[in-house]
Amino acid sequence: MIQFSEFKLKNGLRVIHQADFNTPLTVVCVLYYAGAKFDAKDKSGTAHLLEHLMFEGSQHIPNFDIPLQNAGGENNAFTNSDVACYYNILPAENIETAFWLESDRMLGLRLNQKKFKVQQKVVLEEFIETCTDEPFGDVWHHLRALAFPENHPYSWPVLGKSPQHVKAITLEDIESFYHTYYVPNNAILVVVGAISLSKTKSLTKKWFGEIARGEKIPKLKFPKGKRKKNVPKILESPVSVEMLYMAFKIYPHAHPQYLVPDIISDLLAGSKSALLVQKLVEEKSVFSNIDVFTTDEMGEGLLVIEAKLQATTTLVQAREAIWQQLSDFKVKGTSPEALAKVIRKNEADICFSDAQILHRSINLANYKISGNAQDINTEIARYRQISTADIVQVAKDIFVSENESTVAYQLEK
Amino acid sequence: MRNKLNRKIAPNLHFLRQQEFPAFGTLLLDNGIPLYCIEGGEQAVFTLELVFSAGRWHEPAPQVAYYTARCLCDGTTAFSAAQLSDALDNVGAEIKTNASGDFSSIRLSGLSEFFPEAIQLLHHILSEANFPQHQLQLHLGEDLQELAINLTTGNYLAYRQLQSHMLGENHPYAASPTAESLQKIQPEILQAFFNTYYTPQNCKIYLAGKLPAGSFFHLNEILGKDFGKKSVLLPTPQVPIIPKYSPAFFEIPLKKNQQVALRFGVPVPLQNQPDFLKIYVFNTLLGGYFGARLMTKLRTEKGYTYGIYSQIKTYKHAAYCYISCETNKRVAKAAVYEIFNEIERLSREAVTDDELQMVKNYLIGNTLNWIDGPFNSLMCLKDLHAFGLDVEYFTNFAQNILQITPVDLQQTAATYFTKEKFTQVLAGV
Repeated sequence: MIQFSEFKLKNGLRVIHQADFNTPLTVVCVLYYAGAKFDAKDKSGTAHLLEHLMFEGSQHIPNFDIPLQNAGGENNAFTNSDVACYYNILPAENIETAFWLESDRMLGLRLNQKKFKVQQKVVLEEFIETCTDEPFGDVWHHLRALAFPENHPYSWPVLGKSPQHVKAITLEDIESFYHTYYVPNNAILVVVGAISLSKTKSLTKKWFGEIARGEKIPKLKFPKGKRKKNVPKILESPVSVEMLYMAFKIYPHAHPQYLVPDIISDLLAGSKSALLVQKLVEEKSVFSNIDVFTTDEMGEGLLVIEAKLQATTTLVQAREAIWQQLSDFKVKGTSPEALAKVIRKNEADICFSDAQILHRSINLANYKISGNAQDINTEIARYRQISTADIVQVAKDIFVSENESTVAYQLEK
Repeated sequence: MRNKLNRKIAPNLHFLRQQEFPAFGTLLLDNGIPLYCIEGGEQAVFTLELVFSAGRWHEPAPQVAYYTARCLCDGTTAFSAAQLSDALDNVGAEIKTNASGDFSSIRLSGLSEFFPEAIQLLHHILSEANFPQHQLQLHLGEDLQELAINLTTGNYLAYRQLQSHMLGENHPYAASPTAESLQKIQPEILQAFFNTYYTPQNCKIYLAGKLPAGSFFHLNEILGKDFGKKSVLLPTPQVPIIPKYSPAFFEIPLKKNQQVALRFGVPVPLQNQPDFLKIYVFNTLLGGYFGARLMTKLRTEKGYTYGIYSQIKTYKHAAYCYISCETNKRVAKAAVYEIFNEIERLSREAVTDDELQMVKNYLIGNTLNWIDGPFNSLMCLKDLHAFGLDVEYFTNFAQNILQITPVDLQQTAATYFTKEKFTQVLAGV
């Protein structure tokens, strides 16, 4: 049981505090509800580029890293489709430095064309390193574009739909995004570690209290359009190996069956005895490797099957073999023993994740933004409630052709 | 009325002192295995790690240590790979194995309530692992494909070339997998390596977490008994004569890529040598943290790269420092120039007291991560032991770091980090 407190400032900043005096460290984490889904549809990559620029100094402080490093701390950030999250981990006695730095960059940035152009170049290099030069690094561009309707905010990856999109972003776009979304009423502050609640309260009030509340955040509109017809996208493999990626749309965070696809992914490929591993790697040697995982979006995400083909398998056979197993699974489901085993393994993973203060802080922030921070304490119980009937029902619901998006990398003929 | 907050003034900093290493227990199991243990944590989970002196240094042929570790849970005289995996999942436990330059290790983590069951399974694997041919073939097939993919990427090609040049082509630490070396791996070789090295006489155990009462008793009852072959005499590894280092320059073409992978390496003293701490601080200053010289110049000022780092590769019998960066082909020449310019500047101009103090503060603050909670602390202890060091090294770390002066670092730069000492690998030209 993780005991924590919550409070809210007048400007709308939501705060979570958890005291943990078993560690000499403290984490200060600021999460903005400002992920890539808020990008303009012709300038995707804006949220992520802004994350880079958040380290280029703020209104009263020319450099973010120097004071934090001087305090013995370390920091980083990530942006996903839903949120941008900034975190600092530092010795508890110097915790105020993190409050000072984070509050100042919520108050205002000190950007100019030069810094902007440099970070735009950095992001373009990041694009090449992780998407263009990396074998199969462009798979998310293709999968997301297939799985979601055109202009749906989940249809582009966080880095941006293309280098052209990143190049099209201007400093004014960044500033406008920042002013809209980087406001206290759109943020969550999480403080975990060797610090009392009263100290967290007084430091939060001192440093964040005077930041003005922002305008009401415009509600995100999801285009209603239908996704394209289910036709696998065949690309040329950049290497001597063929790959198959099959994605299935799953439930949004608020859905009662939200956790079930995660368990299904483990039943399919989470261990050596999992269905697809047993049948298609060990027994039939269709694939040399198969992996199944879910993306973790607040809205409808994806369950992805990633399979590396044996040289003797064709892509048509590969996809058929997976569909055959999925069809069987929809009928037979799983045994109570296999389900209990997967749930128990999940339980251990959750415990190990929460044992780290940094993970615990980010988990708390994520639960809060998704609805209720207390969910962190009921997660294990909610997994335990999943029944074999739930598995069959959800499998029948998600593993249908209309819900499939497939990308394949084929060798040159 | 309260004073208006002056945001230009930083909050006062507290001087960072070295923390004590957390209390830990040391015991001897009945079969003589030393056990190091740190109890604690809120979550009811544990980690148990067995470390064997059985790394690439000890292997009779390339990749034997790696595949012995990789295939360890692939089958026993009683159970198949799938059955073992099910049995572990059933008790909420997981086994991860690893083989490095000097060691092989088995990490068992899981839910504390099933601690006795989990270690019973581990003991069974340690006693009865039998390396089935079918499972080995599956891994080799997968790895051959993975190798084919890796051989198209700049970062793999460049790293591999650097590693083999820094240590010597035939050095056991440097051996990279090839299609030929993988074809030579047979179950019998793995079984023999396992029988020889995975023994109580060659083992240390590290345990951390929230442990149920009676855990030590259980542990000793199970892992304190013999496993593996009894008292096999450990062979002395045949290590080839390592050629004297001489710097070299390599260009590896990769036409399709837009970026060049740069890997520049230079030999440094071993971790237990007196100069090592200076090298450590120098490496941090150069490229070991976000505010480092290389990151500031090549990313923040020039926008040449998404990231540039320098790090120290340390083994028991070898060490080198290397810089790594992927940069656009268009600016690769300029990037190389800037990298060596920064290195040269560190021997030409003494670092300012402010910058050096920042590096020291960062490093001392960072040591708190090493002892954050029982799991990190235990890994820290394990790493110290790996280099023949003990907790005193940790306890004295801050004090020793604080004594390093700008002149020390200038001398370090001039002694170890001159441009002509570097081996340069550019993949993707």
